[in-house]
Amino acid sequence: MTRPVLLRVTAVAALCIALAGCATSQPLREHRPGDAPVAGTDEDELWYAMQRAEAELQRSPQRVRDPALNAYVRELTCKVAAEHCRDLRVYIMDVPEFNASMAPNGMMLVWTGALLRARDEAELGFVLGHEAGHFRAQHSLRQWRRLKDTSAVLSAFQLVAYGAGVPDAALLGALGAYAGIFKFSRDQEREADTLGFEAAVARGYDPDAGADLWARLKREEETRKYERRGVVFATHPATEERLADIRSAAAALPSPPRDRNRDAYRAAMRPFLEGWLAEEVSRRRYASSLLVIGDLLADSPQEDHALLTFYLGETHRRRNAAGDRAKAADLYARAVALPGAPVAAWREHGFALRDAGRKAEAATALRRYLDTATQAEDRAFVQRELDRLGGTP
Amino acid sequence: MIVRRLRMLALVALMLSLAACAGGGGRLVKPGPNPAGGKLMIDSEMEWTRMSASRYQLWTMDGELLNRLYLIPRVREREFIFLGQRQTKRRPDGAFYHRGLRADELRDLILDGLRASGTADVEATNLRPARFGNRDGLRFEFSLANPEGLRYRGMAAAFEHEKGLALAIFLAPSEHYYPRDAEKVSKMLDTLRLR
Repeated sequence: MTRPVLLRVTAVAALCIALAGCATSQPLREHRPGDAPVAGTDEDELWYAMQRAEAELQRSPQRVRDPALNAYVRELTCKVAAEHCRDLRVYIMDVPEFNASMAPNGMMLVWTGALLRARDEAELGFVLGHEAGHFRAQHSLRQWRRLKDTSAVLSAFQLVAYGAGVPDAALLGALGAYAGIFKFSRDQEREADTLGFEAAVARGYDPDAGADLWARLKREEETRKYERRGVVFATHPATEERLADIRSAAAALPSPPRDRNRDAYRAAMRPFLEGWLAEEVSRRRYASSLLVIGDLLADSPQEDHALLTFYLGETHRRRNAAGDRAKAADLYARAVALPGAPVAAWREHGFALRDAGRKAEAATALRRYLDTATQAEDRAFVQRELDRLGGTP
Repeated sequence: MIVRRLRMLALVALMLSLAACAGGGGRLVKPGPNPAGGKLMIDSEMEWTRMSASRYQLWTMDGELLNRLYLIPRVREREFIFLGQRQTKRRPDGAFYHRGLRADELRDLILDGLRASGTADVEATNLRPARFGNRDGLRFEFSLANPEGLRYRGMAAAFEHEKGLALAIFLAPSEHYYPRDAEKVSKMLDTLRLR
């Protein structure tokens, strides 16, 4: 860089710093339970926008309306949100990915993929506590103000930079400003992790629960190498960093509580397990689903083994890579030998036997499928296959 | 002066949109046998407006949100069921077509593709064998909701041929539009064939 250009860049940077000082930095109101923003403030505007979004969300076809499940998740949210319980409204959304989010007006979203992946109340409590932490610390409002301020300063900076004939500085300034916003977001996530951890432990939940959940999520993340994100423009800290932080926080507690409430959690989730597994498989993120369902199978009681074994087979069948059909066939054979096998396991077992040339056994399995699934949607195709196998009674 | 400029801009925008109609898309489809892209043929029961892309056609009567018929003459091996992405070793995940799938597997592939496009409550009914010219294939009906909650119903037809999978999907809101046209569109899908 030549000396005049360097001087110009320095001058622009100095001006930028001066302008940054002019950015709005309104004080946050004291966030007492039950309080709403003061009318006419920017926070009031933000809440108004969120309330409109919430009205839309209430009509969403993805909203899970089951009263018992909603009551259970709501009760757990109240436990970890403590004094802010009545400020929060929890919406369970039928989306098979791990996610939860918090809006500044108290609208909390929990996706069914998170409910499938958590093992017990302690793990879900950590997630809900994290989201309630965002609300308590007014993170959305801070982030919004930061965005507005950055945008205002950036506009002024770019005007000056282009005027001074250093367009490169304008571009670098933009990148730096946006990187700053993402860092701010990551810092908020770290703070919410701490708040969630403290809230869950204060309610008697095992402090290792958050680490257990994050360790599984990290393994799942590693199955999708093609989705690896950058560091500078990430909204959340790296999973391994979060895992290390909560592990060290848990290790620092002298005599921690150990509540998990696994049975209560399973009882609340069990009615939805089959539907969520079908949705998990529908994502067609094969390696990820094999890991998630495999881990669930390893952790599940006997009564869930047939269902989970079948859906492991379904994931292999849908992936259909080298060796997958054989693995699926083995899993279907194991599923139908277990109590509580879903009826579709007999159909898949039948087709696997047909592919192996075991025609008589295949016909028996397919016939059992049709006899049990009297309303089978694919009856015509299965019957045609049965006829080809010479299996019509 | 500002008003005059705005008028001028509006006129230019209108001319551009008309020019777009005169170009590639927006041609009238008349009742009777019609090419549906590649070697795919279909007998239309009514008039449609056809928009052609390089690998598929989109037909509509009242606008894309109110009724649309996608006609895809060829989904190739390892291609996303609605075209575009291809399956690779690095990116193995997705609803990718493979030759030789069972009818219910093809149905699931189409439904998972619809789910991946952001729709909700996707359900299929009445999967059944069908003949398209001299080829075996499948038909089924489905329902779904768009992200805003508007309910749609639809029907799908598919059959394999030497170069891949031919696919037709009709979609319209459950209220009024689907019931109005379902019978005629269903007859149309039965006429799908290769030249």
